[in-house]
Amino acid sequence: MQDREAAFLSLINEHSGIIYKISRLYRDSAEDREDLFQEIVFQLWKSYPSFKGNASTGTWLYRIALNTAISSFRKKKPEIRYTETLPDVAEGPPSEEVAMRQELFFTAMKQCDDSEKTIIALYLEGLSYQQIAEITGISENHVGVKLNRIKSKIQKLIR
Amino acid sequence: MEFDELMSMWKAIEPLPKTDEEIREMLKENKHPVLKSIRKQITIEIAGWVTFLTCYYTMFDGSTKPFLVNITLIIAVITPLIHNLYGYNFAKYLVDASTIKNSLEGYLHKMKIYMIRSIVSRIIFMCGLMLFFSYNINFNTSKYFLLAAVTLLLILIQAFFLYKIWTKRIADIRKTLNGLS
Repeated sequence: MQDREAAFLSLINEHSGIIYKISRLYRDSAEDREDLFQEIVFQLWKSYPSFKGNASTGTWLYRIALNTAISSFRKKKPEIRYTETLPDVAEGPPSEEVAMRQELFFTAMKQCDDSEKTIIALYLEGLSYQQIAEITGISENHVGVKLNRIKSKIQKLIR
Repeated sequence: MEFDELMSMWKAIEPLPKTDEEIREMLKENKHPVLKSIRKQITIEIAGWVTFLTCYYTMFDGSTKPFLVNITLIIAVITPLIHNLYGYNFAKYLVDASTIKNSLEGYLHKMKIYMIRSIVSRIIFMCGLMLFFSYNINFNTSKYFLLAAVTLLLILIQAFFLYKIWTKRIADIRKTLNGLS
């Protein structure tokens, strides 16, 4: 059990970037993102025993994480939480220019629906059409068609 | 911004660092944000209704009513509690590891069943309660009709709101599924 938990923790540490990015893509407030991050980790842990390495770790993780982001319940109103201390690490990227670009991108992504977010996230992760098709369950050709539509939509939004 | 730039921007996003202890906490069911609030609600409801069931027989004249009416009340109270436990499980096992499309189809199916169960359990609850509390009252025909109308109205209002909440959630998932079709 402890070995399994240790292996799982190292897996999460290795892939926490994608979980964070998915949380950021699918939720608007910092609190909601934190909740979604936790929900994804919890769902991954629940399905970890059934993960026997038949699929690659990445494929399994993308499936569970994106599925959870789409299916989990969202709070109707953003909740304001006041903390007693300031965070040790500042949230967000280091430079102002990068921060602006990220903000522009995530603002544009709010105009996309959940299925479009799924496909674009997998594309930006550098996955091939075949891998995106395997994860989403749609055909490779369809992935290509969808992706072209989403790309032009995003380019219009961030122009 | 070109897509190559977008890709490098995406890859450059750094997560907030988490310690092993923080992640370990996330694996615990009692730290889960949604499950925690559902569990709290279920505990309060079970405590309240168990108290009611232990007292109703003497406090609300259960002893003067037929056995079947008493049993109906107990079933009416227990049904939504069982449904809530089912809801807890529904929230706990959110996804499976198949493709996103397959998993969402399964989830949509489960959600539809959950919606029907929610409405049916609410109807059973309302009918059971109304039957029990109106049983020994002597009504004339017009008052019986009035009681039936009030019961029906209450059921319809509750069913309408439940239906509205769940159809919105179902529509959201269906929209995502259509986007993947």
